Amino acid sequence: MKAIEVKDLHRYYNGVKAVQGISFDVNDGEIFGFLGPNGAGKSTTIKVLTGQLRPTSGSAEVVGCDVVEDRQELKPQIGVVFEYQNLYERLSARDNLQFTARLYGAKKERVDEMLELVGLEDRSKERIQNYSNGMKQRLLIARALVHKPKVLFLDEPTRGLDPGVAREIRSIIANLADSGVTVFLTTHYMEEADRLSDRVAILHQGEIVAIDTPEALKEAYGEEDRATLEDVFIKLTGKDLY
Amino acid sequence: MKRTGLANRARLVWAIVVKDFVDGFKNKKLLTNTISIIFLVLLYRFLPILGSGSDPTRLVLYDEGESSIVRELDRSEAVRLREVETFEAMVYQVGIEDIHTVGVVLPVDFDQQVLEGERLMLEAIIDHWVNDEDEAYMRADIEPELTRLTGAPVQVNMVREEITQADGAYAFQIAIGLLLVMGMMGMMFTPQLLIQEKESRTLDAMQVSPVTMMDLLIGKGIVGGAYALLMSGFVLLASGQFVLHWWAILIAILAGAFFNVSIGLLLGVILTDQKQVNLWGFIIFQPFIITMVVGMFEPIPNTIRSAMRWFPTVAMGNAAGQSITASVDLGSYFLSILVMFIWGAAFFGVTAFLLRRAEK
Repeated sequence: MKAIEVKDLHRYYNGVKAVQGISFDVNDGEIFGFLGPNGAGKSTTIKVLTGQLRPTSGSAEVVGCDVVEDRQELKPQIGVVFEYQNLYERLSARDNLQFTARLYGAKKERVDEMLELVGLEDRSKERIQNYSNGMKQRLLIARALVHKPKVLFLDEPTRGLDPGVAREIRSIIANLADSGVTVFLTTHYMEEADRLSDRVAILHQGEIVAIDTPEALKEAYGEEDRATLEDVFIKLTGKDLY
Repeated sequence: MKRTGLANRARLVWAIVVKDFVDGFKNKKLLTNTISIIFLVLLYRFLPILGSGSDPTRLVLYDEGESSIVRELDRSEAVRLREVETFEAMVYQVGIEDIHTVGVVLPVDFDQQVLEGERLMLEAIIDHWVNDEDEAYMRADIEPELTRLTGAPVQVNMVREEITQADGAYAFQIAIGLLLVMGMMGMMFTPQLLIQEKESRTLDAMQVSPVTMMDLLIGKGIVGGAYALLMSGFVLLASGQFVLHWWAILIAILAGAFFNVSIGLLLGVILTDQKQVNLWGFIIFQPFIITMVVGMFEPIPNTIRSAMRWFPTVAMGNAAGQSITASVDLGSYFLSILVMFIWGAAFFGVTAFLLRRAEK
């Protein structure tokens, strides 16, 4: 079964083509890497798939819900970790999660479960304005999971984090896939995408230029025996990542 | 989109309300603003009292005859005289004047009684909320002075009278106090509830949650309204002694909160940052407060006064003023309430329209 199905999706902003006719599927329980340089249309695609933006044309379904027509039905089925840390800074981690749990009608126990999952149970009553970036990022993941979504959208979840914290986050993501959650991941870190993703799509100027497993892409586009996903990316987009 | 249950919508709104209240208690800026408003209310209420300690008593005099003492009272430094033509005018004047005002009636045969050298007993009225201490203060000003001028012992029998008009100093005091707290909470604080979500980008998280923009609007409106009502409580604590009809002041407060919060919600939706809220909140507040002051005090032509009744803050002033009068003019009162609800509904409607359009 497909968790996400996108067909000929276009999205324009004031005449600027952010996404141009992309089509792809994401399988149930898969970690799908969505890669591209800045301005390639990754965030726009996530916004369309999560119901924040209407597509200009084309269609997209997430867990069988049309992102335009069935927007309200879609919402409880997805979780989103944004590329920025949008939390209530004056509130504690527990208060932040309780609010989200209330919105989704999730059980109170889920708050404790999530705090434990991301290792914040000991500091759950502190205001999060005192938290480090890494702790906030872990809380964002907990918030996105509190209502047991079927699909999790992660927009640059490890950007700007210490290597140690980034590794913890990657470990959480890997475990999620094991528990059956479909993960839609955008990242600048090719090694991360390579390690985590079952399949990746490379987006360039609003179009998908390649889509397959990391291994298959390296084989198809790598010029050396030990080609990395980053080599493939640069070859296909002509751009460095940073 | 399928219709979702009312209970579900209520749960979402409640979640927003609870979150905002918890957040509000941890918001130092809000606490500072709240304390400032309380201070302002208390200042408005008690400054006239503090400043009037050495002022002579205002004596509103209705002379039924042509008593010779009037000219001497006019020159007196112990009282400040204002002569009126009728008993009703005296009652009215006592009702609209500030603290330490007494209305005294000189009987038609006052000069005759003075000549006979008898002990003189004069009838007088004071406002119904005057306390014993202030009554004694006024008595200490009036009785010795009248005794000195007449040469005969004078006693003034003060009766507390419920006022009949809704546009006096005390009505203004309540109305301006309510407008200040509701303006601050409605037009300045309520938009901040929405702006905070925009600035911290938590609004994006709301948009991917089951919350609709209408849930958000209602939730924020309830929180803004609750704070406005809470702060109005301080106004009533400070000025509640004037109120004769509590139902009237409570309905007026609800209508006033609805109208002020609706403006705040509109500002919160169309503005993007805190500075804009401060600027536009301040700008929009000016015509509302100026109109109320003009509407309640200034001698203006009747045609303009009639037109001004349709202005929400003038309506609020009238509705609040009615609550301290002897009998509420129901027609005028409910027209004022209706005016506030119409304005509030209009602002809320525009806001909801803008949000729905943005959602599409």
